[in-house]
Amino acid sequence: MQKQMAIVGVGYSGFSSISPGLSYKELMYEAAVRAYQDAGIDPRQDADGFVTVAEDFHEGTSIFDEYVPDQLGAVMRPVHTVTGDGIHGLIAGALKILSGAMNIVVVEGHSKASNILTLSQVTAYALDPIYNRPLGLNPYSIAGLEMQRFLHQTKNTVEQCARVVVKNRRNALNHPSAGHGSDISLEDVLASERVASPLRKLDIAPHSDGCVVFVLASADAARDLTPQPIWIRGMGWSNGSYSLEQRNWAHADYARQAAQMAYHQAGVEKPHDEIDFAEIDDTFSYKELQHMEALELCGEGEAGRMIDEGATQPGGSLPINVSGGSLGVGNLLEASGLQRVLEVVLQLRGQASARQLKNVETGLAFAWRGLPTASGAALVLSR
Amino acid sequence: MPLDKLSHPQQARAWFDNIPIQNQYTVGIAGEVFFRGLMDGKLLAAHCQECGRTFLPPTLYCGNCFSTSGEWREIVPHGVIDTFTVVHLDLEDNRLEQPELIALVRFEGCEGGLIHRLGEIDAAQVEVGMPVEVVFRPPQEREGSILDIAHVRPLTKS
Repeated sequence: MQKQMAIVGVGYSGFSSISPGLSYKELMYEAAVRAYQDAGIDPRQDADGFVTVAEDFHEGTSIFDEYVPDQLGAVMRPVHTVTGDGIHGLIAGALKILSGAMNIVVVEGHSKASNILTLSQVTAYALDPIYNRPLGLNPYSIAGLEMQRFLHQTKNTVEQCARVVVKNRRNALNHPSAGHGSDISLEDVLASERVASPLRKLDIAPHSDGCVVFVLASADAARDLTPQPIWIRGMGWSNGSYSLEQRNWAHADYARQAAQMAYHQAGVEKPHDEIDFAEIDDTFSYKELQHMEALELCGEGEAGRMIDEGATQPGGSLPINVSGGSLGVGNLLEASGLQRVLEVVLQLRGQASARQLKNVETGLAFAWRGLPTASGAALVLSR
Repeated sequence: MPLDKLSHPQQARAWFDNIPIQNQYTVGIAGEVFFRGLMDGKLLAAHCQECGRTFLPPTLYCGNCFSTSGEWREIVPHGVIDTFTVVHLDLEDNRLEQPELIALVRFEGCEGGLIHRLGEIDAAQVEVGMPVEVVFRPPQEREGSILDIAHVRPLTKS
């Protein structure tokens, strides 16, 4: 895809483990005000449409999509809410521009995870009610089953998974807005509480509250608005079977398909050479390694070696999750993918302060929709 | 954005609420076949005559070629452990006194499989690839649910 549409404004609020002072609407308002200022637009005059991502059970409100217009400046305007990851929503917004229907589109996603008092119950409610839910299992059991199979088949190790946690938690120390940065050791991770073997507590990204808002624009509008548009070069998404039993538990097939679609549009033929850095799903430590392989950032079974060799560190040949990822920033529920895109945009703009990478032209953002799904979305962005 | 912000956490007010949610879930045509099978102590899978694949749990439609499955096949209830986990948390995230051993079992000639409790074995002895068999509850205790399967256990040679 040539330079047809771009991200011209970013705004965010958070990301911290609790946010008792602000309602979710105020988190959204704060991020939106910042995004509109960054893009130099008045949403009431300039935005042609709005896309938000939300899941009713995470919000504690049914028909939640009706609750989004006011705090985005979107009352009595075209609004479209997507249930999916934020990158699914961003793609829906980009397609409105690509179709020629709209010139400027706002995309929003947020997390008020600290308000969900029974999150494991909510996630378990997403399991098949007839075949799986009667077992009454904590949904982390699914991650445990997947991690076991992935490690068995690829010969990556629990130590290599723990190394991902150490890297991302430390990366987050250089991100002033990350909620979970810490200087932890491999031993800390390997000694943390067992949750669903081989998965331990520190293998799991803790949650954060926050909101991310983007302003997207067509090529002409983007060039009018900013000297520094970040171009959307490729987008892809894929949805695996809802059936846990029918899935491939070793490999993230949804990630491979989503990335291939995005790479094809972007003209990327050798991802490892052409992608300068990536922000990819690390909801669980092993997911970063599994996704690296599926996204063709390395060959099968090579992700562990890359982390051992430091290749995915900020100073390595292919930095991954320089922001801290979900392990360091926090799991932002539907907004997780948007946080990954946010980091890619800030890096490509040269606005990533202490964690700024040098000489980056093209970045990849990849989101998994989280438990219990086998769905994901990918975005290739460039300066 | 406001100039005056809260300065103490206890100033932050919150409202608490919950609602009862109750549903019934229709098992459908394929589910009817499967659960009647369980009550008879059998595992029934759906066979797609178009692409030749066999699915467990059974579905009326083929996820591969999207044709109607239309044929049910009994599966020998002996399989292998594809993956397993020991779960230490309950649904409220409290630590379980007795951690639960869970496995995904694959059956020969079948796409899919069965996720269920693994019993009659110590967690430390479990391995990927281990042969196992399905243990049904006694006939009088079966009521047409996935819990008519008591658990899976290491295959006893007989």
